[in-house]
Amino acid sequence: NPYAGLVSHLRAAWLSGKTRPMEYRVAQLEALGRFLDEKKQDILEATALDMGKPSFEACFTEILLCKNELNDTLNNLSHWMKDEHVDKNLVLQLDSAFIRKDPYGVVLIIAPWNYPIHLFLVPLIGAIAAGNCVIVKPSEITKNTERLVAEMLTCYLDNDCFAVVTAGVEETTRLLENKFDYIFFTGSPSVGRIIMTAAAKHLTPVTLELGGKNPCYVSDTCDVQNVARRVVWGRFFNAGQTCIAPDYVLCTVEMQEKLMPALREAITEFFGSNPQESPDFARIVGDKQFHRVRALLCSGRVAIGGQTDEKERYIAPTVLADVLPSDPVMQEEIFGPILPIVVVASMDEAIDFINARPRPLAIYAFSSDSKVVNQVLERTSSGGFCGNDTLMHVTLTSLPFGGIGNSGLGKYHGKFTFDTFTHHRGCLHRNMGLEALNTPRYPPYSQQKLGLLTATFEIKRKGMCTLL
Amino acid sequence: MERMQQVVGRARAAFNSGRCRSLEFRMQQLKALERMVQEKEEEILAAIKADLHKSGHNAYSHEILGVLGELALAMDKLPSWAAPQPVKKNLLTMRDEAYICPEPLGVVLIMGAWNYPFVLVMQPLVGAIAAGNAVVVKPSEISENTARLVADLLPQYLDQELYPVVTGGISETTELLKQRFDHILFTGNSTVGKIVMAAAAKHLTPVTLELGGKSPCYIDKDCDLAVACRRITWGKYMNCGQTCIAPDYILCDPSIQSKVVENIKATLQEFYGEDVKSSPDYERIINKRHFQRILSLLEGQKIAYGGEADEASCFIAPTILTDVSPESKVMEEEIFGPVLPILTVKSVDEAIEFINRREKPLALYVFSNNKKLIKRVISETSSGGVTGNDVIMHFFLSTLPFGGVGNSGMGAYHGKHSFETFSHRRSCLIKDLKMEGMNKLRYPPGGQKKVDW
Repeated sequence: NPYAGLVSHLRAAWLSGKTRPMEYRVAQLEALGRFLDEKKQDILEATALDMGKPSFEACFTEILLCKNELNDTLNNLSHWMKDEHVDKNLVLQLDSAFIRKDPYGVVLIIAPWNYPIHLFLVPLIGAIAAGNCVIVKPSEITKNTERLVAEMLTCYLDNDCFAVVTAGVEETTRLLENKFDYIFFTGSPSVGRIIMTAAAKHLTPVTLELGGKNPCYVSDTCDVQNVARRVVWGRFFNAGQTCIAPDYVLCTVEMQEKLMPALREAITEFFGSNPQESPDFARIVGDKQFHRVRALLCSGRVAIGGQTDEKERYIAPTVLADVLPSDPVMQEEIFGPILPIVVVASMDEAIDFINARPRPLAIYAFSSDSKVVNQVLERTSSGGFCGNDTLMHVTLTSLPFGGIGNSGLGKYHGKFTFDTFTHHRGCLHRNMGLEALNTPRYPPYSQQKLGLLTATFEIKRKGMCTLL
Repeated sequence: MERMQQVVGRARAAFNSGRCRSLEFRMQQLKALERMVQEKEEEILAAIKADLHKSGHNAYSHEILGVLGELALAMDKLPSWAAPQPVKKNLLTMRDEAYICPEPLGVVLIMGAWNYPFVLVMQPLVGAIAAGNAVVVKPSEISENTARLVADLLPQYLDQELYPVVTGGISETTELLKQRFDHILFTGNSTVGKIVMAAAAKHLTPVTLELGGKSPCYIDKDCDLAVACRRITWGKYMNCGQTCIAPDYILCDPSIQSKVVENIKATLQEFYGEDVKSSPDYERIINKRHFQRILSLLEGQKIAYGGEADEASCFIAPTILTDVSPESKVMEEEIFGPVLPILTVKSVDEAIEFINRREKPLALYVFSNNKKLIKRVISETSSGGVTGNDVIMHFFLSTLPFGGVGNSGMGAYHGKHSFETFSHRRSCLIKDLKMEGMNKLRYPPGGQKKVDW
C-alpha cells in the first residue's frame, strides 16, 4: 500500500488535535488566500497551457469565485463552528441540548480537469474550515496545473495536515484502498460508482459531484436575442467543458428558426468572425477528448461552426439543427462546444422528454412568461435550476450545489461545504439531580407511569386540547 | 426477482403519476398511519411481545409513543418544511428570485431491524412520506411477528402502490437491493451496512446507514453513583440489552468499580424484583443464535453478578463482568445483550485514549458532577451522539439529528432531519429576461477592465 505512510502521517496529525482550534483553521485558510493572490499569474499560465483557458475565464472561475468562497467562509466560520442549541421537549427543559460540529478526520478530495483549481480548492476550503486533515488529488490530465498544485500548494499549507497526491488511474485505485473519513469526488458518473464502491468497503461517506445532459428549454415567448447571448455564454464557456453547461436546447421548429440567426450573432459578438483567433475561446483539454467530441459532429446538420483543428485541439462554437434523440450527440454528456437543438412540439413534450431521461445536474428554462418557467421547474427534477439564464445559480454561495440520481449525491458551496465535511453530533447534557423526574421511565411499569410518560413525552398537534 | 422488480416498478409508476406530491395527499397518508397506530395498538403490542417478550408498557413507551410523536410533529410542520426557502442574494442576483425548493427523491427503501421492529420502520416511514416519496418497506424477517403485522396493516391504511411492504430473508433482500432506489435507509450492523452501500453504489443511490458499535460509558469518580448507576441500568438492560445505543461497557477508576457493581445490583432488584425471570418487564433474547453468541462472551470472565441463562426461553439474566481485559472477546464486538463489562482506567485521559483507539461508536456516555470534564470528553472524542449524565435520552429529542459516524454509520434522521434526509434540496435561481445590460460584464470579448472589476 504505497500511500499507507502518508495517510497514517495525516491521521497522527489529526489525532493530535492540531486542526481543531479556530485560529489554526483561519491561518490555513488565509494561507490559501495568499496562494490565490501570489500564484495568480502561475495559475493563469498553467491553465492556458493545459487547455487554452482564456485569462478572463480563469480569473473568474479559478480566482474570483474561489476568493468569494474563501471570504464567505472566513467571515462566517466562528458562527458555523458554534454548537447549535436546539428546541427541547418538556422532559429535557432543564438540560442542554445542542448539535456539535465535529470534523470527520482525514478526508480525500479528488478533482477533475475542467476547472482544475476551483474544483479542488472550494471543497478544500470547507474541509479545512470544518477542521479536517486533507489529501488533495488534482487531475493528472491538466499536467501543468497538477504540477503547480503539487509543488506550490504545500508551501502555503501545514504539511503535517495537508498533502497533495499526484496520481493516475492505477495509483488512485491504490489510494482508495486506504480508509478515509470522507471522500469528495467531482467527475463522471461511471467513476463516481467506482469511488462509492471503494468507499463502501470502509463505510466512508461521500459527496459525488457528477454530470449528465443539462436540458435547456426555450419557449416561444421570449426575447430571442437575450436568450441567445445567455445560452451561448453558458454553452461555450471553457469550450463547453462545464458540468452545468446547457447541453442541448429543446424548442419548437419556429423557435429554432428564430434562434439560429440570434445564436450566430451572439457567437460573432463574443468570439469574432473567426473564433479560432479569439483569446476568449478555450481549447479541448486532450487528444482523447478532442476525438470524442469531434465524432459527435455527425449528428443532425451543422448550422453554425463545425470547423476543427486537431493540432490546436480547436473545435469551433457549433450549433447543430434538426437533431434526433437517437443521434450520437444525444447519447452522452457532450462536454464540448457543440449545441444541438432538438425540436419539440410544445412545452409538455419538452417536459416529457426531460423526464424520460436521467436527472441532470441543471435544468434551464427560458420564457418571458413566468408561468412557463415555473411549470418546467415544478414538473421536472434536477440538481439545480436556473430560469432565464445559464450557470449563474452556482455563483450564489447561499444556494447548495449538487446533483440528484445519476448527476450526483451531496452538495456544497458556502456553508454547505462546511456542513458536508462536518459530522453533526447530537448532544444532550443532562442534570445529575432531579432524579425523581425520571421515575416514570423505570420498571416496574404501571399504567400510572405510562400515563405520566405519555403526558410528558408526546408532541401534541397544535390546537388540540389534552385532558390531564 | 420478478416480484421485486414488479413491486418497485409499481411504486415508481405510482410516484411518477405525481399523486404523492401534493401536501394534502401526504397529510392524508400520515393521518391514516396515525389511525393505524391508534386503532391497531393492541395488535402491534402483541406482535412485539411475541417477538421480544416485551411488556405492553415497555413496547408502548419505546415503540408507539415515539411514532405518534413523529407523526404529530410531521403533520404540524409539513407546510413549513416543504415550503421553498428564499436565500441571501448577492449584488449580481439582487433583482432575481433565489430559493431552495425541497423536493421528493422518488422511490426510497427503508430496511428495518429486529430489535425495535416497529419504530425502526415506522419512524423513517413518517419522514419519507412527509417528504413526498414512494416508499418500499422491508421489515426485518427476524422479528417475524412484527414483520407479518406490518405487511398486513400498511396496505389496509395506506396507498397500496406507493407504500408496499416486502418481506423475506437474505435472498429476497439481495434481490431487492439490485433494484434502483433514490435513497436507502438501513438500520442494522456494519457488515450488512457495507453490503447495502456497495449495492447502492451501482445505482449512485445515497444512503443513510444506522449501524452500531460499542458505546462506551465513562463514570467519573466525582459523581452521584447511585443516580448514575440507576440511569445506566435502565439503558443497559432495557430490551434485554438489544439496543443500538445501549451503554455497551463501562470505564471507571478501579476504586469505584465495586461500588458501581453494588449500585447496579441494587437497581436491578428495584426494577425486576428478586426473580428477574418472572418479571413481566424483562425481555428475552431474540433467538437461539444470538442467545448462544452472547453466552459465549462470558467465557473466562469474572462474573460479578448474574450469568444465569435458560436456552429454552432465550433468557439471560442481567449480568455484570468486572476487571475485563480490553483484548477479551466481549470487547471485540457489540454485545447487544444484557452483559455489562467494567474496565478500569486510572484517569479520564486514559478513558479518552481508550475510546479513541477504537471505532467511532453510535453513542457515548459520560457521568460526572464536573461540567468541564464532560465537555472535555465530548470535545476530545467522536461518536454519533452523546448523552452526558444519562443514557439513551438524546434519541428522544427529535430536534437532535440521530445517526452514526465512521463505523457506526452515516446520515441521520428524526423529526425534521428525517424530512431532509428524504428530500432533495433543489437550488433555484429565476432571472428576468430583461436587464441584459448587467450581463455584458461577463460576456466576451474580455478586457483587462472587466477582469479588474
